Amino acid sequence: MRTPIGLALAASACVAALPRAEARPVSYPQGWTAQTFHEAERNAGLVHYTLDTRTALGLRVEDRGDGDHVFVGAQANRLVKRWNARDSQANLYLKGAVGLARGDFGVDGAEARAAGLVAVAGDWEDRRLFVSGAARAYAVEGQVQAEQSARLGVAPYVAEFGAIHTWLMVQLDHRPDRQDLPGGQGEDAFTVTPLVRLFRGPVLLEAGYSTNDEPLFNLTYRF
Amino acid sequence: MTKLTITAILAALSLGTAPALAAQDMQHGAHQHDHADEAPVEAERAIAPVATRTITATVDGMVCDFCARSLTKVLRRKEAVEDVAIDLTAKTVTIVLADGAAMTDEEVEEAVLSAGYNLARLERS
Repeated sequence: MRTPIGLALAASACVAALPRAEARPVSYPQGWTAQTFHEAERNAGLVHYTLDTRTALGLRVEDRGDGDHVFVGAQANRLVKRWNARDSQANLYLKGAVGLARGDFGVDGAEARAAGLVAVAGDWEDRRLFVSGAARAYAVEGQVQAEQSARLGVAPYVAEFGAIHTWLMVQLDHRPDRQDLPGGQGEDAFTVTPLVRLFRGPVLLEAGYSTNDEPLFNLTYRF
Repeated sequence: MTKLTITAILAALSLGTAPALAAQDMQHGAHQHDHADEAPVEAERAIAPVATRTITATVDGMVCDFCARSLTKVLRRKEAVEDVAIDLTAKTVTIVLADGAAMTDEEVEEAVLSAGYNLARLERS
C-alpha cells in the first residue's frame, strides 16, 4: 500500500463486501488484493495475499442479506490451470472458505454457526472478448445454497497498458434460493445484469443494474 | 447504500489519481531499480534500448493491464533489472539490465513463469 488512496480503498474492502464474479482471484506472487462486492442484497469484502503463482489466501466478510447473517472466514483461491496462448488466456480456479456465520437464523437471539463455501470458476479472454462461468455452494450447518453465474464481455476498443480498459458485460445469475424467500416474495431465479467494467493500473471497478432492480458495484484494488 | 456511495467515490478518485501517480513515478528515471516497488507500472511507454543490456521477451497470455502489471512487478524485483516496458499489442516485455548485471535466458523464463505467463521468444540486443 503506497498511497492514501490505496489505504482508503483497502479499508473500504475490510468494512464492506461479497462476490459472484471475482476478477483474477490470484494475483502476482507477494501481491495483495482488496475486493468489495455489492450485488443484489449481498455485500462482501475479500482481502487476500498471493503466496505464489497459483495460491492466494485471505479474509472474507460477507453479509448474506436474505440469510440474515454475516459470514466471516478464511478463504483460499487456487489457480488450478492457466492456458496462455499468443493472444488469449484461460483460467480454471477453485475457491474455498471456512468460518462462522453470525445471525439470528430465525431463532431468538443471535448465534454463530459453522459455515463455508466452495466455488469453481473459469474464464477465457483476449483483448476483445471475455467469457466466464462460476458455480458456488454456500453452506451453514446443513443448509446449502447453490448458484451459478456466467458472463460475456466485449471491449469496445483495444486499450494499451496504462490506458483505461473498458468492458461492456452481461452477467447471468441463477440463484434458485431466491424463489424461496419468505412471505411469498420470491424473485426470479434467473437475473440478468448489464454492467460496465473499467480498469486502469491497480484499480478495477464494475457497475451495473439487474433485471431485479438491484445495483451491482464491485471494486478490486491490487497493491 | 452509504457504503456503496463511499466506495464509488473512492474508486473514482483512485482512477483519476492513477495517471498523476504514474507521472510522479516516471520522474525517478534511472534510479528505478533502487526502489522497485515504487517504479511506474501503470503506463505503457518506450524505453531506449541499451546496447548489450536490453532483453526483449515475447510473452504468451499477456492480454490485459493486470497481466502487464504482474510481469512488471515481478521483473522489477530482480536486482539485475533496471527498467521494464510492456507492449500489449506486440506481447513483448522489454527489459533493460542494470549496468554490469546479467540475466540468463533461464532466469528470464523463470521470472515470466512466476508471474503466471509463458515465454515464447527471447532476443538480446
